[in-house]
Amino acid sequence: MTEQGGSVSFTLEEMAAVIEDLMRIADDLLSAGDEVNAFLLDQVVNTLLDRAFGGDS
Amino acid sequence: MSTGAATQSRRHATGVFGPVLSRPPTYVMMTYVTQFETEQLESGEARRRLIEAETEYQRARSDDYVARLIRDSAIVDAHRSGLSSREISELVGDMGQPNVVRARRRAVTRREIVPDGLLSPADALRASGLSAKDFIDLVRQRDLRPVELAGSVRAFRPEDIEHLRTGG
Repeated sequence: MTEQGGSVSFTLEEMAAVIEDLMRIADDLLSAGDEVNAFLLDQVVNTLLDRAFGGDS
Repeated sequence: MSTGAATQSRRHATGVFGPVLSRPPTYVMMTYVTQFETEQLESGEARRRLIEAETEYQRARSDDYVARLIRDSAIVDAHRSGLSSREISELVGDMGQPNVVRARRRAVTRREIVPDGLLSPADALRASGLSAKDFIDLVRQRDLRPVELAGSVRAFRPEDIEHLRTGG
């Protein structure tokens, strides 16, 4: 890893599992009334999904 | 650093760590961006930007997806600058979550249709009722095409998601 950062590769299956875990947590937070943290998790999920879709979808 | 895809492909090919796969796995590369390349806002400035973005979002109302994206980005910046979730909640009128709430309700009732307005990837995934893997596969295979917005932002048309849900 360089000082500017680095790259890590996940299989699509791993990425999908992470996304589903995060969405489940976001749903739980939203159910508990914690909209801000649920929202912040959703933003992470959006970023992961966008990357998982590929660069030219 | 030489690991990652090359190593894992070799493992799958030899079957040392599990059964030999007939199809090589698809990989997603995630690049970590250090703080050198991101703008770290001072909390006062982040708060000011959030209020401004929220005001614009409220003026445009939730029909304006781009205004929502700008507001959403301001929320993330505010959180990164150190504002607490409670403070952010007080500054923001609604969390832009009506789509999420409606999507969940819809997933339970399976009756309502997706309302007008573009859906974020997460909202679209929820509303589709599909697994994340199936949803991602559809997009990668171009069977489901997102709308490309400014700034390389992707969103989904509600009618396309509804089409998935109904299997039409």
